[in-house]
Amino acid sequence: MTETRDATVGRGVAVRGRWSAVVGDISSLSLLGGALFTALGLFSWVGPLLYRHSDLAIHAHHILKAPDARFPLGTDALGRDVLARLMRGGQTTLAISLGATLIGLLGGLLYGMTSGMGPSWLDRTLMRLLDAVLAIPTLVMMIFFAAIVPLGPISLTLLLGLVSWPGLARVVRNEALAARGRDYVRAARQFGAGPLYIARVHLLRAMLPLIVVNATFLMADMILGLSGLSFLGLGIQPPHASWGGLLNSGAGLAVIGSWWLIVFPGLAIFLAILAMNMVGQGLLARREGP
Amino acid sequence: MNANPDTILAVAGLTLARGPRHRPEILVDDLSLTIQAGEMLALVGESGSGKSLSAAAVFGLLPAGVRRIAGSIRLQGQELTGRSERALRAIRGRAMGLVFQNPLTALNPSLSVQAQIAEVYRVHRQGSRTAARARASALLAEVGLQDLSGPRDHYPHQLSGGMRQRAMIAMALACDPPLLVADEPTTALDVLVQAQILALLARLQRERGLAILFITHDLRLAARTADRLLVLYAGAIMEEGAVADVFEAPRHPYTKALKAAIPPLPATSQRLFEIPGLPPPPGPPPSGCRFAPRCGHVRPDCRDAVPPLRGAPARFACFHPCQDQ
Repeated sequence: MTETRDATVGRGVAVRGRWSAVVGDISSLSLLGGALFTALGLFSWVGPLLYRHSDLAIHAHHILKAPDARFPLGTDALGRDVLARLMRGGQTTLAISLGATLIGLLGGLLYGMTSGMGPSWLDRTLMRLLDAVLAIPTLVMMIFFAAIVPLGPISLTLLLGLVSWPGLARVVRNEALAARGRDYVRAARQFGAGPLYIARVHLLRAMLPLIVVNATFLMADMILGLSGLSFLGLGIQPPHASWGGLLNSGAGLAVIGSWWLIVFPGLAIFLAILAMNMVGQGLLARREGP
Repeated sequence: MNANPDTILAVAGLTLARGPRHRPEILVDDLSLTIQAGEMLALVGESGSGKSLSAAAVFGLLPAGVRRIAGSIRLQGQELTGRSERALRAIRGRAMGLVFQNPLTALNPSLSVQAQIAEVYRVHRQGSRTAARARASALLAEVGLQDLSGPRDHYPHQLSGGMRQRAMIAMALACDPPLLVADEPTTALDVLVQAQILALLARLQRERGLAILFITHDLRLAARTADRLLVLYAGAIMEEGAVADVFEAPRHPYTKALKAAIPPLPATSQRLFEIPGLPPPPGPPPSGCRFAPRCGHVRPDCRDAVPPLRGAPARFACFHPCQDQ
């Protein structure tokens, strides 16, 4: 996928500029997804700088107000500004999801690389262990841990990270095994390269496209996972906001007509996951070819 | 023979096997060879005769399941067998380089050629990144890739097969190793490029005083390029000696048959010669001479005992050697 299609043999042939080469290599689907996700990030972090209203302030005279000029997205049962809460909730949701994705990435890489590079007995042991971990449904595992640890942004990040690495570990291990047999990896060994060097320079490079694609899908999973936990009341604890938490507190009230309490957080979750899947899908299509 | 200070590689009694310990399948049987500085030895044999496996043994990188059950490998007088993986890693690339058969797959497609040559220095902790890069450029110029010695990166997909093989050779020579092992370096290339690569190897051998172990299945190519020939059959030496002796006047019926199997030029309408039968599968070798079942000159006593290597200056393993043609 890294081939620049118009790079020709010899000198003096104009090769496209670096920037246009990068953009040209990324499909429009990925770009659109990336733009959407950037917009959500801006909404969450830059938004509060422009819309200066507290997400925790209680307006006792404006309870369950429908969207109007003063509260663009209405207020909740305690009279808090839904737009401000949506922005603050975006910060926690996106930051925790990103942190969990990074943990999953790191864990999956380390575990998969060890398994794929190591001796066959180690590989077999680690993979059977992974089978056992994968056999436990993710949500059940998360609920179990969420029930026994105090819930905060850090513990939630670790919790989601804990369940995110196994799938990636298997992908990395398979890629490492495949890349290990390639001639250039054998060549590197003949030139005296050690296993760590080969893992870092050759294997990681070979699997980078796949890792990027998987990371985007993983990120979407993490957003969904965190929102699911929050919806069950096991995520960020009130009064602090998260998208899933807003859904949870709004669910009962929406039935009696306060539609704005679930439509907007639901839309935010939907768009975030859609954006990540678009990025991933676009990269995947590029990797696999048209 | 180890007394000679010019001896770069000395392999003695190398025996490689796989399978269970009590009933091993012998893959390479009692292989001995020496290469002097500035000399090219060609290891000639059919597929599966143990050529590449012997080279892998020199590098201490035998495939899984294959083990060395006897023999010593000395590089510049230093014993390599029995060394730790770590010690071997320091030797690979620094004291011996390897050129692969297929230059299309032996280079990492996502790293520039310059970076890949420089990485050999980096692996052996020789010099900074910029110094390694400068040495890589100088090496590229030495192997005839002056166009690539500039500052711009060149990736493998931008190079032709011959250029890639030159780059591979540059990589193998990065740390100035005294020994170069070339495992079928021209098999994947077309004839004209083949000749260029062989000329390059010959020049490096001359200019650098490089000892080259040239592995090939092509007897004619070996005879044209190398100083000495070593003919392997089913893991054992059939004949060994200077090209003038072995190729011009083969004593072993196998060498003679191999030579006869070279298609004549210009092409004639005659049926091409082939050696009847197939090499024996690995396992307990047939009793007596292992070439006996396919030999045109076989006599009853050939099947009774294994013929020892004898003769001088060329050595051969045959009871009834061919006389002068």
